[in-house]
Amino acid sequence: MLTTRPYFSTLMLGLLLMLTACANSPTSLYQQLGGNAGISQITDHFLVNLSQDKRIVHHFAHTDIAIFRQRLIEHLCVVSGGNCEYKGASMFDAHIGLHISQADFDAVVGHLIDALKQQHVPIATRNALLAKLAPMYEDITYH
Amino acid sequence: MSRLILLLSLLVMANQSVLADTSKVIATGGATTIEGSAGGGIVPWAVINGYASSEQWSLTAMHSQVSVDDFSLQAIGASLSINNRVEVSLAKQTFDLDTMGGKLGQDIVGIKYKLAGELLYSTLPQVSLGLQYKRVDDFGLPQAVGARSDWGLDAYLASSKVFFDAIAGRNLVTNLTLRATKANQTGLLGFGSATSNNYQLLAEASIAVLLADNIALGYEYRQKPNELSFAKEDDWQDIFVAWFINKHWSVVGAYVDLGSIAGFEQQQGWYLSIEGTL
Repeated sequence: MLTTRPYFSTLMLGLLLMLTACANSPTSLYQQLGGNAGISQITDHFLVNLSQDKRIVHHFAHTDIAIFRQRLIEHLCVVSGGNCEYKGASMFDAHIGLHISQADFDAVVGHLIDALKQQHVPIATRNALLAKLAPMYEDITYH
Repeated sequence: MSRLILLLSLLVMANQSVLADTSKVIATGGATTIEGSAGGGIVPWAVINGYASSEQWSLTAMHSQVSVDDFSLQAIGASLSINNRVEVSLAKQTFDLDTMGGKLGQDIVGIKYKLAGELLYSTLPQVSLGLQYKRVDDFGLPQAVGARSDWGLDAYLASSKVFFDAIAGRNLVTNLTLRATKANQTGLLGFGSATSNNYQLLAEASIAVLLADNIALGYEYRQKPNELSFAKEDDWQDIFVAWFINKHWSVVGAYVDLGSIAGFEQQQGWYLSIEGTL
């Protein structure tokens, strides 16, 4: 008993360390998206895709793209669990009076998926991000 | 009916430039069932066919073939979807009695209306109400085996929801449909029986995992009535793979188990469906 206990304790400590490592190392969604650099690149792909879509580009006619880009990056960072501060308005407030329709929202989702693919984000990471963004439909559309 | 479907199909295939761009995300229009409504292969879903979102419209055309041990079914159909809210569909089924000889057939006019929810975006499922008016081509055989009527009306309430990142990072599509029907073998053997003219309330379900954005692997189960005394009618099930090649073409292949049909046991075989969408 006396001789096995240290081994047992070492094993438990080892397991504990492994579990902690597991909890931290396969990384947050933020890290899976490539951190700030990855999210910035995803945002840029996304903005290019939006700008090329005649169906929805009119919504951005009066948008300061540089500020919009920065807010998007911050927002994706916060949503994915990154340590950032989002300095923009709430999703609801940010879309008041813009009359975003379901067709607009669907198109934007399509462009985001394309942007994530262009950045070679794996499907599981893409879906995890979509899981967080999809419920924002209610706050963004029709007001 | 065939002529109308052909006309719509030609419109779908040949007249792409007339239609405005549609916006829904790939695969979210589902496939088309053998009864013409958007869904899997045998279970209608709450989704509206095609890729039309709000203030858009969409046309689809499909051709499906089912071959089991002693029978084969061919279905052609077309649908018009408006505003991702309403779907109107036409389908024509021809059912060849390969072993017995002869054939059965029916025409189906369907309408589906989305009541609530959004497949991808709402916590609650998307819920739609559907009606399918069915009329058999020739009532001779259905009447001889005890069917009461040559036409019937199915009503169904379908709920569908996508769960993101559900299994190994893949999205899961779930569907539950409740159907009130008098149809024997979906209507191919007429409606009601000598002893019963009551609606049966039946459950249908399907579940599919999106292995990729445009490839679904799924299972469907459809409860069936068993009203005709001449032969047992079994529930149907299938395992399917759907490939949404792009927003204009999709192909679905399935292995189907249709159970006992008109006294022929264990009818199993293959299902193949191709669909064009605008």
